Amino acid sequence: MTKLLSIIFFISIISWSCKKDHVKEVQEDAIGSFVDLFDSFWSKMNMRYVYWDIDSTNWKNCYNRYRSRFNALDIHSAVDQAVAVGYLKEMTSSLIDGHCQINCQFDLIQPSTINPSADKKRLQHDFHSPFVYAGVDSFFLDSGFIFGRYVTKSNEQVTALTGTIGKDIVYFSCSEFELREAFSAPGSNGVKAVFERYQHLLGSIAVQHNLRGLIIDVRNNPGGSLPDLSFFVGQLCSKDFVFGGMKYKLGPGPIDYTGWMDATIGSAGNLSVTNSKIVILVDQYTKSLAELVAIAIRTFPNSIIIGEQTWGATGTVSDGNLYNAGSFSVGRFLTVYTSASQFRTLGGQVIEGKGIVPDYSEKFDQQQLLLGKDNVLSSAITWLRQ
Amino acid sequence: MARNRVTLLQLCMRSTTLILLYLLSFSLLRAQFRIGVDIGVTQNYFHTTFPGQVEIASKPLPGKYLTIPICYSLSRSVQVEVDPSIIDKSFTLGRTGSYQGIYTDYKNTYLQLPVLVKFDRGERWKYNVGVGLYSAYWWKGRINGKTADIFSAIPGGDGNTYRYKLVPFQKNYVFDSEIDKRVEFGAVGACGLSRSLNRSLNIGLNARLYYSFTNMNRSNSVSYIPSKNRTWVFSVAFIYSILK
Repeated sequence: MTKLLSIIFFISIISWSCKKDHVKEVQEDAIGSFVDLFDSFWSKMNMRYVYWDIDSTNWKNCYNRYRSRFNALDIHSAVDQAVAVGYLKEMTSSLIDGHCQINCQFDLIQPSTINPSADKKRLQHDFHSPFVYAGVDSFFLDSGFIFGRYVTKSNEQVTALTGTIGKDIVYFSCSEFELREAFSAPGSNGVKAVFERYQHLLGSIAVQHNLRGLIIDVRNNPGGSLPDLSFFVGQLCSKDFVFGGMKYKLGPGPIDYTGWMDATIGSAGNLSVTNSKIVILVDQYTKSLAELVAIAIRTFPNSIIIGEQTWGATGTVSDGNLYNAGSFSVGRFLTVYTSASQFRTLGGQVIEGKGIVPDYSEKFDQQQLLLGKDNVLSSAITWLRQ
Repeated sequence: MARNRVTLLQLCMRSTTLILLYLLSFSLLRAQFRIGVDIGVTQNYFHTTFPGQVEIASKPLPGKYLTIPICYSLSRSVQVEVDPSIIDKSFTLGRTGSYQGIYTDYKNTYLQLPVLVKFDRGERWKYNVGVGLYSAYWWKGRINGKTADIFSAIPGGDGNTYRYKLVPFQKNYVFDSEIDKRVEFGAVGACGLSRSLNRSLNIGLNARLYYSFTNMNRSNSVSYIPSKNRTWVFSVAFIYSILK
């Protein structure tokens, strides 16, 4: 009898192992109340946000504080929809991710966007509106400079500008990093022409020792496509090089990471200007890939960064499924745009939410700019000619 | 629900303690006492539902198993066995579909203490079955694998997708007391075949299934991530009778 019982128990254990686990997950199409929306948003942020190991936001406390508040709201009330947007803004106000943006689409109120890092910037004493520098800086360039435009596949207009200053300094700027796409596009376009001219000028720096150096202007540059990092910075070096570290999510656990791995830039040619003097111009709207370009070039021995402290959005945004981290949506109500990986500098610092502190700080002066005077560009020229 | 879970854990702990105490007292009085070594391989099936993740699958990884079985014969055919062990419960999470090639191997080692009641039959060749409970402590973990290097992204032919270079990574698992639940409780089922080599020494072939009742992580009802081990062990045991 005992033997029979033990066999039955053993078999039941084996069959039990085939049983599926039960998980409480909010189904996307079943979001019918604010508490469902809250549960889905909270758990997805918990699983997909990549800065939980260093972010000061107490996400567990947010769960305890806000769940009951959302539970008290009616999803069919315009007033409560506005209150919910306010709660979401409060919950996310201290997130450090410089890319984080939450687009809210409720049917009874106007669509709205929550941007925690932009809200924090607006409170800074040196906050200013974005400024387009190309109009001023083209007056610094020698005759023969090239300015070009390109409309991307996603219908965004990108501009680029290159030329020489005083015949001995090469200057390059672009409004956004979509250079590879423009360069690879069939036929001719303005940005492609600018880039070809820039490559020619880089060749001059490499062989002509009478050239003082290079200015790369990434002010008011919000970043762009990741392949542009190696495509653009790779033009300056003949060998691959490490410029920092990356950390990726491994699973749904909030701090389930790979550990730090080398962030490498691949060489894009045989030229090397890494020993030339290079100045990178930045401002508080230098963001994302533009910040990574500045950090990468700053690893060269004779390079410096001049301008304002940058935005602080150095994590990378990618296809949300690649690392099962980063951007996601909550039903038809919320679209959350957020980083999918962490970046740190060669010195081991994560500057997300803080930005790059320039080697030489130069304040933004709109009055002078409107008079055609660019003190940041002037400082760069002075440093190169020292 | 949480209250029920605690009650189950408490029950497991109490049962294990009671069985151990019973064994100790009983064996000192009259039982045959045997000890040995049991070496084998493990195949661990990690059970989860991958919340929030797409194109991913779990596969078992082989591991090692070592135990010092201590057996007490309660009668001619019933014995109780305590198996202090070191056991690997490893698995791999591999991406599928368009993310094929990205994977993470989790190599976890546990210190484990199962207590089984075993029943055997036969003469020279004996077959046995057994059931019991176990508790285990997640001693150490190591992670390695390959992931996509985000900076190696090259646009694919269609212009909408990217190709990435895969880069290796590895690290020792760093435990977080707020997230990791290092103590595991579960049930064990066993079956085996043994043969006497002489009056004192037995050799046996064993198969076991360790079925965890508890999760590997702590979480609230919304962030609940199922993560349970089901570990098969196939081993060879040498058991020596030292007391009659």
